[in-house]
Amino acid sequence: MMLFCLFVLIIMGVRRQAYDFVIKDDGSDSVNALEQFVNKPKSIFTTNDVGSTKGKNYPRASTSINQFITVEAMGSTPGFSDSASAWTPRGALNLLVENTYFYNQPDGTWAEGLTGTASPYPQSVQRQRSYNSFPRVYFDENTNYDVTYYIGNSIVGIPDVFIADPFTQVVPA
Amino acid sequence: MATPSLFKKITDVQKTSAYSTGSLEVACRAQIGDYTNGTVNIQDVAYDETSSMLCAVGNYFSDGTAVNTGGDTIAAQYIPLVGVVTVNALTIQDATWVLTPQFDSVNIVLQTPNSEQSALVKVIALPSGVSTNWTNETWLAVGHANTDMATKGPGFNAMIAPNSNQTPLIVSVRTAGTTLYESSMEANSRPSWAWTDTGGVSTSNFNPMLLGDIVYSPENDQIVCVGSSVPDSGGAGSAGMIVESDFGGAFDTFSFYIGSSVGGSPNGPCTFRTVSIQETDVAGATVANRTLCLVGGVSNSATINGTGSLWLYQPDFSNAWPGGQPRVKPMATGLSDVSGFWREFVQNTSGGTANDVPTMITAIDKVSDDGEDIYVMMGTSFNGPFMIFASGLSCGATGAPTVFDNEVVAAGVDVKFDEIEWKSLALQGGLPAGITGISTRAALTCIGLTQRKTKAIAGGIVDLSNILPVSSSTGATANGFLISMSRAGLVFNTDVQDNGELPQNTAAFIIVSEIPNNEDDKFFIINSRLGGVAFTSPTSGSMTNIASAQPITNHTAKAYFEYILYDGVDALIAKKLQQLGVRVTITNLEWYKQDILKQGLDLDADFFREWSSSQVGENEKREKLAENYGSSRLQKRAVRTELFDDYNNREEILAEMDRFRQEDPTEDTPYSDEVADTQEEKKIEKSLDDKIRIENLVDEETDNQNKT
Repeated sequence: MMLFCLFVLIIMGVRRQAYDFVIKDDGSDSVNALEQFVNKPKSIFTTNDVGSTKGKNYPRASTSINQFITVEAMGSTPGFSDSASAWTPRGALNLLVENTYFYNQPDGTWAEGLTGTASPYPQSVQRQRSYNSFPRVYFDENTNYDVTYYIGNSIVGIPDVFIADPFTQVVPA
Repeated sequence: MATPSLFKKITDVQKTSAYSTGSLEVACRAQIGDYTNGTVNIQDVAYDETSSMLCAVGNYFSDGTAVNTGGDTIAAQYIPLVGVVTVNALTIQDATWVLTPQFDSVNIVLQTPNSEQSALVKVIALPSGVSTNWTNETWLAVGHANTDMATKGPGFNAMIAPNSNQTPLIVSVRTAGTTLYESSMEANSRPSWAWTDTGGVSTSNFNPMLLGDIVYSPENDQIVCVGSSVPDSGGAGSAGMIVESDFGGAFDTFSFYIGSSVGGSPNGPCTFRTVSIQETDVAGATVANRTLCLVGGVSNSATINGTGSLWLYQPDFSNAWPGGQPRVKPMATGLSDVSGFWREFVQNTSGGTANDVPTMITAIDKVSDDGEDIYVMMGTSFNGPFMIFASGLSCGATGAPTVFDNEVVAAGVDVKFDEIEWKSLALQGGLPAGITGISTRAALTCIGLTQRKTKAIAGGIVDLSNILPVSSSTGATANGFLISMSRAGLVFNTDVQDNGELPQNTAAFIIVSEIPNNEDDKFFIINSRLGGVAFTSPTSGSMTNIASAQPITNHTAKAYFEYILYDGVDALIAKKLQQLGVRVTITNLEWYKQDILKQGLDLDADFFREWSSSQVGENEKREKLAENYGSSRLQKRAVRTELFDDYNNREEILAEMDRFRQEDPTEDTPYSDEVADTQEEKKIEKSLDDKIRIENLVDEETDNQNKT
C-alpha cells in the first residue's frame, strides 16, 4: 500500500504543509510493485522514478510565481537492520532542486540522502533527530523540486539459495 | 545476511466459516440426506486454474439411511465425499458447492477390522489440455473404501488387524460431474482385483488395500499411486504398494508392485504414503523415458530406530521393466536397515542420532514454484518432526565410474543428490511451542510461493499406523501448524501461528495447497481432523475448514516531509530576507513587515489614486506596445489566392497602369475614388473658369482697342 497524506496549516499567505508517505506490504500491492520501489530514489509525490516521464498527469512539483518554500523537516522510518525478525527499510530522503540533489557525496556524486536513522519518523524517546535544526533549503519561485525516498532493503525480503553438499548412496542389487 | 523472503502474516482470509453456518456445512446438510451434522472432514483440495473451480475430497459420517444405486441401504459408516466449488472458490464463504457422496464405493455392511476410515485422501488437478487418456477429467482423487475381502471369492480371506477392510478407490472428477473410476465395490468400475503385476514382477498374492497419494506424469500421460497391500490369504502382514496406470495399451488398467513387506505382529500396516515425480534426464531436459518417483512411507510402527521407508521407482510406462526385473530400489526399507539411506545420511553423514532417523515419511513434496527445485522430505522421528532438503536427484548403474543416466536397473544403482541437507533440527527449532520434540507431529505439506519466492509449510498430528484412523489416541485438536519458511530453509517464522491469524487453529492438522499462477501468492489452508473425535458433538473448534489467504509481511516504511509555503507578498518578503542573509522564518517575515511599517511607509488615499493613474498609464503603454508588435491589429481578411491565378502578373499590370497615368496629362489624378473625382471636378471647373476668364479678358481687351 502506498499512501499519501497532506496536512495543511494556513496563516494568510503562509502555509505550513506536510506529506506523510507510507509504503506497506499489506497485500494491496503486488510483490513486483513493491520491489519496484527498492534501491532507487522515488518521488514521494508521484512514486515515479526521478526523471521518469510516466504519468503526464503527475508533473514534478514546482513553485509558481510569487511562491517561496522553506523546507522545515524531513524524516523516515529509522534503522539499517535487515534481519528476519526486525526488518527496517534502510531508507533515506533527498531533495532534488531542478537537476541537483541537496545531499551529495563529497565528490559531488549522488548520495542516498538523509537517512531515517539520522532523522527518524515518527520520533520517539529512543528515536530522536540527530540535527539541532534542519538545514536551510529554500525553493525560490519558478523552481522545480522533488522529494525522493530511497529504500535500501528489499521490502519482501531476498530469497535465500539452497547450497548443500552432495550425497550418493549405493543401493545394491 | 539480508532478510530472507518470508511471509509473517496472512490477509484477505476467506473461509468456509464455523459450525454450523459455514458454506460447506450448510451444503452438506442441504445436499446429503444421510449426513450427520458436523462430520464433514476435508483431507485435500486442488484448484483448477482453467475452470477456476476447487475440488475438495474427504468424507463424512452417514447416519445409516443412505441407499446406493443398487437399492441397498448402507449401514452407518464413513462415506468418501467429493465436493466441487463451482462458483466463488476464492471467496469460499460464499461458495457454491456440488457435493457427490460416493455411496457405491462402500460395502453396505461395515466390516471388521475397521481401523481406517473410508475416505478420499488426496486429489490432484490434471494439467489442462495435456492429457488424452483423461481428456474429460479435471481432477483425480484417491483413497479407499470399506469392503468385505472374504466375499471376493476363493483365495481371499478376511482381514486381520492391524490391516483394515479397505479397497483402493480412484475417482475422476469433472467440472460437470463425478465418475467412480476405480472401485472394487462398484459393479461398473474396474476393481483392484483385476490389477496386474507391474512388468510381470510377482506381487506374491498380495491384494491392494489403501491408497495414500497420486502423481501425474505429463510426459507419459499416466499416473502413479502409492498405498498399501495385504496378502490374499489373510494375516497381519502387509506391504507398501506402488500402482501405475497402463493406459493406451491393449487393456487399460492398473498394475502394482509391492515393497517393504512386513510380517510378524506389526502395530500398523506397511504403507507408502507419499510419492513425487521428476521427468528429466541428467542434463535437465524434460523427457518421457527418464521418469523417477521418490516414494516414502512407513514400514512398521513398532520397530525402533527407523521405520521410515524411501524407495526410488521408475515406472514401467517410462522404461519397460526388462524380463520381469523391477526398476525399483529400496533406499531405505525402514526395517532397522543399517545400510539404509537414513542411517547413512542422517546418522553417519549429518551427525544425527538414532532417534533422529525418521519413523515415518509423511510427505515428499517436490517444490519448484519458488525458483528452487527441492525435494522436501517430511516425517516423524522420536526427536520430533523430521525434514530433509534435497535437490538434483539422479541415478545410474553402479560402476567405476558410475554413469548417471537416470535409469534404474536391476543391478546396483548409485542414487545421488547434488545437494542435500538434514533439516530436522532447524525445523524443530522453528516450530511453535508444543509441537517441537513430539514424535507424532510432522509437517504434511510444503508449497512454494512464486512471487515471494518463499515456502509455506504446514502439518500437525499424524497417526503412525493409519492414514485416516477411525479413532486415534493422537487425534487431539489444536495441534495444526502453519509456518513460513525461507526458500532454502534457513529461516523459519511462526508469526502467523503465534499471532493467532490462522483461520482456525483448533484442528488436528493443517495442510496447504497452492493456487497456481496466482499473482498474489494466495493459497488454501485446510484444517482437518485426524480421527473421529467430534463426530457426535460437533463444535466450532473441531470443524473442518477451508480458507484462502494471502501472505504478506506487513513491512512498513514511512517518510515525512514538512515545508512552509510563502505566497504572494510574503514570498517577496521571504526572498528579500534571503537576499539579506536572514533566515526565512515566519517570525523573521513578520518582523520585516513590522519594520517596514515603522519606517512610515504607510499608504494613504493619494497613493491609491497615483497607483490607479499609473496603472492606466501602464495599460496604455502595454496596449501601444501590443499594437506595435501587431498583437492587437485586426486580422487581415483571408484571401483565396487560387482565384487570382489569372492575375499572377498583377504587380506588373498595376505598375504599368501607374506609369500610364503618370504619363497621361489627363490622368494625373486618382481616377477611381471620390476624392479624385472631386478633384477632377474642381480641375474641370477651374479650367472652365480659366477659359471663361481668359475669354472675358480677351473681350475686354478687344473692346478697349475698339475704343481707342
